[in-house]
Amino acid sequence: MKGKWIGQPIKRNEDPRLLTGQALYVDDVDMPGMLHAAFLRSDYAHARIRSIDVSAARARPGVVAVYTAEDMADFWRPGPLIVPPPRNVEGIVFHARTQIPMVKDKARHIGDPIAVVIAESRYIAEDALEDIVVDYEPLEPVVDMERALEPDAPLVHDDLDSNLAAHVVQEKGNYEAARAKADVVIKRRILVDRGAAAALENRGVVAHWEPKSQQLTVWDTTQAPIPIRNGIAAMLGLSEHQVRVIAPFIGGGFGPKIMMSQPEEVLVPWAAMKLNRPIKWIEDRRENFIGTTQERAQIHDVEMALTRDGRVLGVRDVFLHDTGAYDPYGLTVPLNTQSHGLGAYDIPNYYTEFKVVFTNKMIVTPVRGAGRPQGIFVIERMMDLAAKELGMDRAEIRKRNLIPPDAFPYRQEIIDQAFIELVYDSGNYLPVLEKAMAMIGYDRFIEEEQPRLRAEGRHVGLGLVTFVETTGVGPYEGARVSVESSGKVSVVTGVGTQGQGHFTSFAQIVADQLGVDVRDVRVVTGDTAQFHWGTGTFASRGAVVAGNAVKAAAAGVRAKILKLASKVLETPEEELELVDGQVRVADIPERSISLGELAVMANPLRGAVEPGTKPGLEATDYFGPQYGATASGAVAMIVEVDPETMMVEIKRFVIAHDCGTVLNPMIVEGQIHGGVSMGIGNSFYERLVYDDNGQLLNASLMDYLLPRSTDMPRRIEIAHLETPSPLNPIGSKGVGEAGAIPVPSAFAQAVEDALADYGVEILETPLSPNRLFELLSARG
Amino acid sequence: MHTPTPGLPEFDYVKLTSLAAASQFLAEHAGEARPFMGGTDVFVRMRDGFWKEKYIVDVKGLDGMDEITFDPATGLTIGASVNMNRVIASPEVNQHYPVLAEAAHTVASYQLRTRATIVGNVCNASPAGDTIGACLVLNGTLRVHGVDGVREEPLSTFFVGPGQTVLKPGDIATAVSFPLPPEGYAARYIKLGRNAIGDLAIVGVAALGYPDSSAPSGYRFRLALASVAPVPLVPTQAEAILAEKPITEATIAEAARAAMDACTPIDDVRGSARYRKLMVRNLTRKAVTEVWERIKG
Repeated sequence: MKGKWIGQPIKRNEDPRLLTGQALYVDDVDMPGMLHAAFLRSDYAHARIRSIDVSAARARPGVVAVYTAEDMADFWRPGPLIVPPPRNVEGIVFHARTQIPMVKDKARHIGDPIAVVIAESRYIAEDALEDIVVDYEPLEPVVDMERALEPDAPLVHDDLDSNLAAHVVQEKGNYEAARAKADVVIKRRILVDRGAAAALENRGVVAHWEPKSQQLTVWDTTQAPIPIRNGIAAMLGLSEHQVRVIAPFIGGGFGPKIMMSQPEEVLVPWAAMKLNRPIKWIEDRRENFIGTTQERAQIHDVEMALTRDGRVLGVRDVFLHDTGAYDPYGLTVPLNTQSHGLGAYDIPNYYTEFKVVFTNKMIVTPVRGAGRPQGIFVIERMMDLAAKELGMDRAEIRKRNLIPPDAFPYRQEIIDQAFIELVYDSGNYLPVLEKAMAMIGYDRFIEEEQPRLRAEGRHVGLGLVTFVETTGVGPYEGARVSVESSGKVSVVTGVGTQGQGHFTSFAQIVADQLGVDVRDVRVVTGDTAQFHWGTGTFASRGAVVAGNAVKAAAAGVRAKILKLASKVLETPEEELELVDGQVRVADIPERSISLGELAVMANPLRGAVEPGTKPGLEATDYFGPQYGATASGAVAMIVEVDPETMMVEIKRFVIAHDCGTVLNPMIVEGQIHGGVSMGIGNSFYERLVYDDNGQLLNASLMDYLLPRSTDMPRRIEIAHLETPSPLNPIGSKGVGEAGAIPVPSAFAQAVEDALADYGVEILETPLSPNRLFELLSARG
Repeated sequence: MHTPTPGLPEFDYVKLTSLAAASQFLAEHAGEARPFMGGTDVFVRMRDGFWKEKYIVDVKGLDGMDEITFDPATGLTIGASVNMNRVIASPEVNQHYPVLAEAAHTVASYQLRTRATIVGNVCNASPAGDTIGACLVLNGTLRVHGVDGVREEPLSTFFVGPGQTVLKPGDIATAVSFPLPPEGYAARYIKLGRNAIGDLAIVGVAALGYPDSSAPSGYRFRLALASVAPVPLVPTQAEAILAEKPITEATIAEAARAAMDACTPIDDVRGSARYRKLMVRNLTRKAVTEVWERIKG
């Protein structure tokens, strides 16, 4: 549904403010009398707290308050279970142990908050942290997932019998029967390790309690301002209307900022009310490493059963998922892994079982991809190994198994993170794969280039994978669209924004509906005082769910405009058109009225609003998809490995993807660029290294390596294919995670291909030069 | 383990008007005062709780420390406050000592190099210091202003341990100087990090070679290795092999193995000791081969 605005690569409305430093971030909020918070965090991954002495800290000049769990009294309570487990999976086991605001009995991970100091400055607050004396009784930590499930393992939560947090088994068809019929069965163990979300902007909260108006305002780097507002109100015993949460511009979300009721988010507003002073807390980078949620660690034991001609009959995947010390986000991540474990393929039999394990490490919640990259990594690696085993071309084996276009909607028969059966709504996978192959020059590379370069002694390899991305999950979002008397349009919606381009893509949707210039549409996101229904920006759902709510609201305004203009211009509605901020009679363009004049008439100063109508050219509407839309894509990349050092250079990178209707190709490409860089990080650079004591060894950007521009391919070549989703009027699917999901599997395949003469098999991500070297050494 | 709550501690910033006064102050506050130049190491180490000095003495801009001078008779002197980007851009450096620019170029990022200095890199004495190897193979000497006056410290005997040097309280390094390089020489610095640019070195290899008729092989090589020992390491055995045996692929390989055997690296998040050792072998072979290609007759 291309329009005058939709589908166009127009520049973003928000960029002038962002690029000139005018945009408001949480740390820009400054108030008279503002205090500053600093948190004392556990040095130990697992330790009983015998006592905490805060007297010296309280006595330090400039310190206003020091709080521990004890000081919170009844306000101390574990946070909410943000996502409960699905009820419709038979035999499901789930033990909810949600994050606590401050340690009461024992610390369960490095960075677990123990005390908070509120002081006149951050300097004083941090100095006072050193005055606090904590008497720890160190306990044996459990760091390794498999160790955690051994009967004699130390318990992260003493009230449980084991460190098992959850156990889920799902099956589609009958894997064992499929296996019995198979010509070939391949079995492997595949590992994915931890990484950080590493947003450019760390977390931060400013809370201001205004006693005279009895209003609490909280600026928060959250992806979900409305649920946060509700949570804070409930915790503090306030009406939801007394709490205003503002999520201003945020320097990247990537998942951890969807986590709700994190200790700092709870304690800063609580203390601000208690002290009657505004309080600011801005996370520093080290805190971000030890106090912000992480993701990805899983161990898969996977089996694939095939016929000799490469048809996959079934997959059996049994995996462990590390949730860290708590599991406040339920099963979203492992369920996503489960629901992406068949990728883009038509595989009739699937046995999938996971155990979620508590360990003494930072909590795991979704990070861009949220379990999907692991699922895709496993299935795509297995496809490659199967191709090798069968002596088949890796593109061919994929083609033989792709879900055919006439099979949509395609039922996967397992429950996914939305708690309903996973159904791929639409897609056309083969052209996407073929597009990526054509762009990279697959045949020519395999037949000519690679043999020629190999003959020169160069180690070049190609990776080619497909992927799916479930996106745009419910429940719903809403929006209000109004035409102001200036003729300009305002849009408000409840989702927060962290760089997705909402100020432009939502404006494009409205501009097409109302016939105005996109620059005349002002979008407000993430302010609960402006719109207070909704969920948040996560799971690649902003453009799909909020976007369609915006469209519905804009359509409501359009109807009002036409109704009123029809009266004013004495012309039937169907003869009117909305162009350039005017309503005009299609055949007689000089008979027209501006939207601004109509807006004034719709809000009469004299005369009455007629019964059955409401003032203003305004409408509020909502959109809740029946189920999530599934996007798809294919990545092809060429790498060269230096055999002397095992350094890898990405020579070319191609991605063909289908996210349904593209609202703004420039924004979509930006999303893909960001996702790809994250995927490259997860492939070769970003690994959080915990030692046996549960200490994080690389808790700084000096030691934890983010890919730089010099590690990125020179160009990311992108092709957009559009199979509109039937699940929403715009036809869109999400793209926020598309870049991150397929890269590790493509990278591993390309590197394995480049090192073909060493016969190395890559069954893990992320890699590093050192790790590749070890893998090669192990081959001898 | 370092302090769990990193953050810059309180300290006094001290700026004095002469080197003599600064030396005096540093000597009087031995153990609680530290000179700083660009601050790219000092403030990070203080933030992370490794250093807790009460006084930070700014020695930038004192007594001609801000110059690069080249004398065709005696060689090159780089003042202590000359930042790395200036070294990289210096025509004299690029003409006569390009390996200094090459090494400086591998340090961190452009932004950091506007603060970072070669002398600071040397005095910080990190085994991973990228410019130290180049300074060593160029036979650098540090000029030091101490309470007893000015003296020269050859870099070959300067490093004592990780972060430890022969400098004493009151000492301020004011410049590093290099003699004229040998006739017909070539040199290289090869750094291996975990990424293309910006990481600390897993391994760094500096190699300098030149024709020398007094050597049985007709050539002499100077080598220096980063990140593989408690101090920047000169693998003398490898140097000896290259001076004594006719230079062939096999000799270079033998020298590279000797360099590897001289290393005592550690395991860390960047790389294992074993990986480091093998990378020393591979990169020494590569660096020496490249230098050899350029200097052989």
